[in-house]
Amino acid sequence: MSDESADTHDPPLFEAAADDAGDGELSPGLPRLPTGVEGLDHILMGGLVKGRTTMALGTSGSGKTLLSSQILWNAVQRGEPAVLVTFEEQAMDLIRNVQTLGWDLGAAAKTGILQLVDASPDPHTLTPTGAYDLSGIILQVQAAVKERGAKLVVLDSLGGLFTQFDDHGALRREIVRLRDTLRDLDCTTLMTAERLREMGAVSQHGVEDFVADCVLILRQTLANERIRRTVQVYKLRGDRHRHGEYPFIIAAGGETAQPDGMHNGIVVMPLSAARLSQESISQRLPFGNEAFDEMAGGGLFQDSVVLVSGPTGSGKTLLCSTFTAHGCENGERSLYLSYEESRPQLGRNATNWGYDFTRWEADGLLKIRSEYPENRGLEGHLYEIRRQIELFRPTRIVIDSISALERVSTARTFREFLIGLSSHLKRERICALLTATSPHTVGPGGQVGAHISTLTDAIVLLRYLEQEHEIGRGLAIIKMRGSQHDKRVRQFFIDDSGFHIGESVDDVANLIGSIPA
Amino acid sequence: MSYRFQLFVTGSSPLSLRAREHVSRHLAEPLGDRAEIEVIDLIADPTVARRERIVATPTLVRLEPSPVVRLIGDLTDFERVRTLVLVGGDHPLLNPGGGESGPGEAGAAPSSTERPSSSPPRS
Repeated sequence: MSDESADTHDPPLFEAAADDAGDGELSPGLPRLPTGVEGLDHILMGGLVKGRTTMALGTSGSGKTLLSSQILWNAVQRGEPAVLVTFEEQAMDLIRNVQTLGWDLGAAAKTGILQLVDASPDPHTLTPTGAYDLSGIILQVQAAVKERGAKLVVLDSLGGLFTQFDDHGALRREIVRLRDTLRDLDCTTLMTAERLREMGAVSQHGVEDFVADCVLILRQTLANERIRRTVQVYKLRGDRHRHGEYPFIIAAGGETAQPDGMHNGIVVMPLSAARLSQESISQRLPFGNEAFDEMAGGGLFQDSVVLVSGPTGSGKTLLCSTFTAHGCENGERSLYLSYEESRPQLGRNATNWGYDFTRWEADGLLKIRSEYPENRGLEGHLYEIRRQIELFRPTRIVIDSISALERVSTARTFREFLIGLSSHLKRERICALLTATSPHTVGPGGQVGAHISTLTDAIVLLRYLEQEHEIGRGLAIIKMRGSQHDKRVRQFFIDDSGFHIGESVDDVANLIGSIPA
Repeated sequence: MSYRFQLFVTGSSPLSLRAREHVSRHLAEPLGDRAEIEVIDLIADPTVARRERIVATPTLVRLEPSPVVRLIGDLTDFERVRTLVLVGGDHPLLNPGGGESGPGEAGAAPSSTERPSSSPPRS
C-alpha cells in the first residue's frame, strides 16, 4: 500500500512555522481527547481526535506499548473509563511491566474504570477448520466499552492478531469492522502495530495506515552511539497537526520520578513550541558587576538568554559565579548546572572570590548540579534541565558549558536542543547564562557561537589579547537584543576579589572573528 | 456421556449457520446421546464472549473428554475436525465411512500436545 515515504529524512531543522500560524491553543477543527503525554498533545494540536482511530506504529522497542499504557493511565487518572485490549501480551504482563513507572493499571482494573480484554494467544486454540471472523473479539470489546461507558479504547498490538490468525484477508476486513464498531460507540481508539524497519513502507499488514484517521510513527535510531527516539505525526485526516519528527525521552525512576507517575514515561520535546517572537519584558536584572551592567545598558533583561563565549581560562566560570552569587545575595534563587567542573571545584573557586556557595545551598537559594554530558542524550539533558527548573523555580540559571553538551551530540540534535532550551527559558522568564568554550585562545571564536547566535539575546565575548608584548584579557558585548550597549572591547582583569572591567582597548583586530552578531 | 461440546456462534450469520449445520450433521446426529452439545449465541449475550475469551467465531470447544480443544472456523474441513475432537473419547464414529481408521484408534491416549500438524489426515 502506501509506501510513499513517511521518512522525510532530513526534515527541516526548524520548521515550526509551516502549519503553525497560530499556537497550540488555537482551537483545532476536530474535538480532541488529551493524551496527557507531555509534548504529544502539542504536536497533535490537542490530543487524539475524538471518536476516531489513531494508529501508533513503530519497530519493536520503540515505545508503542509504553505510549498506550501512559495514555490509558492518564485517562483513568482523570476519572475517564477506558478499555485495554491486548493481542500479544497477556494483559496482566503488560500491567506488571508498567507498574514500575508508578502506573497502577491493576488497581484501575480492579475498580472497573479500566476494563481488560485479553486476546493474547490461547494455547488451546487449534488451526482453523474453515472460514471465520472476529465477531468474538468485536463483541468482547463492545461489551467492555458498555460496562462503564468507556470513551477510550487501546488495542495493543495488531501484530498479535496477524500471528494468531492466518487468514489475513479476513483480519483486515475485521479490523475495519472493529474500527467502525468503535466509531459507532463514539470511542476514541488507539491501535498499535509493528513496523519491521525504521524506514520505508508505513504499513506491514496493508491495513495500518488505511484503517486509521491519524498515524503516529515512533522511531529509534542510533546517533552518536546513543538511541535517539522520535515521534512523528505521519498523517491526520481532516485536520491540522505539526509536521516533522520530535525527539522524546522515556523518563523513569531517578530523582525526577514522581510518586503519582504523572511525569514518568514518554516526554516529547516539541521544538515547535519555540516562539521567537515571544513577548519580552523590559525588567532588568543586575549582573553583579557595576561596570558590566553599565556596558549592558542597565543590566541583563529578566527573560534573556546570554551566551558567554571564550577560551579556557578566560574567566567564564568567574562570570557565571558572580552572576549566580549576586542573585543569591539579593535573595533570588539561582540554579547552576555544570557539565565540566565538579561541585567541590566550583565551590573552591567561589570561595576564593569570596562567595559562600555552601551557605546559599543550605539557605535554599542555590542549587548546583554537576553532571557528565555523556550521562544521557540531549533530549535527556533538556528534560532534566526542565525538571530542575520546575522543582527549584530559579530566577537565574547558569549552564556551564553548552559546548560540553555539544560534544556529545550531532549538529542537528544540538540545534534542536538549543531551540528547546532557549524557548523554555524564555517561557519561564529566567535569565540564563550559557557558556561556550572557543577552541582558539586568541582570535575568532568557536562553532557554538555560530549555531546559537540567533537564539540568544546577548553575546558576551571573552578573549585573550596580545598587546605590546603582554597577554591581557578583553571583554566585549557583541550583541544585545532590544537595548543599547557599549560596543567597545574593554579590558578585563581578574584578581582575588573577582573580575573588573577597565578601559576600552584599541587596536584589537579579529576579536569577533567568524561570529555573526 | 462421552463428549461435551460448546459451539459459539453469532446470530444467524452465514458462518454461524454453516457451523451449526456441520455440528448437527457430523456430531449431534452420529453421536446421539453420547454427546451433549450446547450452542451459544454471543449476540444474545456478549458478556459470554468476554468470560469465555472468544476471539474468532465460530468457535467449537470440546470440554470433554479432556484436554479441552478449541477449534475456530465454520467446520467445513470436517475431516480435520473429526481427527481433532473425537480423539480420546468413545469413538466408534471416528470411522463412519468405513474406509479409514480413526487416528485415535490405536494410541488413543489423550495427548495434550496434539496439534493438527502432528496428525496428518488419513487417506
